[in-house]
Amino acid sequence: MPQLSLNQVSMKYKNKTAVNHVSYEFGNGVYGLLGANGAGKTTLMRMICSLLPPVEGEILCDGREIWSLGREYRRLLGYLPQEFGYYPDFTGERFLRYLGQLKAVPKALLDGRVHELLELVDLEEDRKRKIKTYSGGMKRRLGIAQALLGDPQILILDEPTAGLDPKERIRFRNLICSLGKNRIVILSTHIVSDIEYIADEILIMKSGSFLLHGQPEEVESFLEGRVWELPADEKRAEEYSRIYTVSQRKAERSTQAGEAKTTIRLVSDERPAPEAVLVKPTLEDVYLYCFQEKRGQRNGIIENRAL
Amino acid sequence: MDEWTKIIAETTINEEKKKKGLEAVERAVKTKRILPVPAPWEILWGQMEYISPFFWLGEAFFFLIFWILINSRMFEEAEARQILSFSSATIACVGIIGIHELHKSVAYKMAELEQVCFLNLRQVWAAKMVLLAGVNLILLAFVTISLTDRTSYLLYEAAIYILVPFLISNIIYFRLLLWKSTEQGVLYMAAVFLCMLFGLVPSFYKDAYEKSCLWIWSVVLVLALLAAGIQVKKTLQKAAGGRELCLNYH
Repeated sequence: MPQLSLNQVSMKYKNKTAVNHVSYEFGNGVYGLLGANGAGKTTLMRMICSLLPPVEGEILCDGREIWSLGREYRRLLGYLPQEFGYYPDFTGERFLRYLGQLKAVPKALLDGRVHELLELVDLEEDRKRKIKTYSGGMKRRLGIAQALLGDPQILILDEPTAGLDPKERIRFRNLICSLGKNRIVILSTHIVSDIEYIADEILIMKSGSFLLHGQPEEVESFLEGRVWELPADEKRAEEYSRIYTVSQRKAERSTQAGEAKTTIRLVSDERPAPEAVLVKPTLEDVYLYCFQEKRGQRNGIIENRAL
Repeated sequence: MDEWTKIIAETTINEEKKKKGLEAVERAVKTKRILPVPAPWEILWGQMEYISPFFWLGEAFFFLIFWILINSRMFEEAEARQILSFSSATIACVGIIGIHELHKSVAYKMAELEQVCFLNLRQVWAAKMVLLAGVNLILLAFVTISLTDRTSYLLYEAAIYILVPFLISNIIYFRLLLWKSTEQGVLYMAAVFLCMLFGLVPSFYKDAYEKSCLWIWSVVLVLALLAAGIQVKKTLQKAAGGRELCLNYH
């Protein structure tokens, strides 16, 4: 199974640093790359796919530079781009056969593989329809199918669940779980629930760097002892939102007519109020803490910790 | 030979060692992914299957246009200069059919996906260029021979007068191919403009198609061939680079 290494990889364009001296080692398993729009996830994935050469650093596969490996490296790849293109007049089946040919899937195996993948993504009945007639979710499923065509050892999925309904998302998660056992799967998203139960490792990316990385429990533990829940009325909830990172505001109806209470969940070094109760942090708390634009004076918990 | 045969016959095989050796080989083989590499002809044949009907219809359309007009009374009565003006103008549009085929990858946002396949975009485009050029060469040969037949121009003269507008128009189409903001409408507008240009220019110069000016056409042809080669090479290099193919890459 291949080992993928990023050594001080950087990408700059014009006056912006999209990826800033990133280093990491990937082995078998599912890696969830979490970050807001503009964090550098797509640029990093394009570099791993040998689409964009890094301006600094190197990307190695089994100790060899991926650009020198050329097509032998591309043979190991399966890629689903964030903006998935397709030839609209192709049917789903023809599209997979076309890409199967580009991926040098042996002809004798291609037919079987195409049908197997169409069944896997539940498009077998729509295989003869033109892609332009597919819904957004169907197109995305087709994109996932093409990424799996050549039985890739390295699977790169950029926002793979965009456009999928909840049932499809759960199906997708189960699929990724099974795939991650014997290959490298890197999937990027800004939706925490997509990866929190399936990723072996989480990488939170911000401004081109990995802010946090580790197993989900490790990442969550950065906010251990700092996540609180407390009841508050609307006015107080607004005040807390200005001072702290609030990850959840849950309105609860009172049994008496006219009374409504809110339970808020926030991040704070100290107990924010006497009635606040310490709770176990979740990945969503960590994500919101990292990417909330406005925070009050009590911030810097994660930035001040060494990775 | 007898001595060697004797030695071989007397050699005994250690079955245990042989078995262990074969098992080691089998284990090593199992760790390797043995995958086929398609031959060049397989790549070309494979790409042929996916060339769009638009291309074949477009080429058939130009064949038909030339065939009908060359056999029409209008051509019989027209001057050689007029025939050449019309042919130049039309041949300058032919390249757009092939460029449309290549541009599909960019227009339908497939370039990023195709670039990361085993056969990447550069190889796909190179294969398509070979196929498209082959078809266009047949069309050019047909037009050149027809012109030689209908006019007093020699084969090499007709070939030069036809190749120059064809090459120059294709250089411009290739140049436009990877511009990020290039929509297909721009390519078609460029084709119409070139068509008019090549049709009109010789009309302004009475001696444009005379033997006295042939040397100018020959020099332009050589330069156009060089420029076309450079442009094709640059296009394939850019296709391998990745930056021009990625959407939202600024």
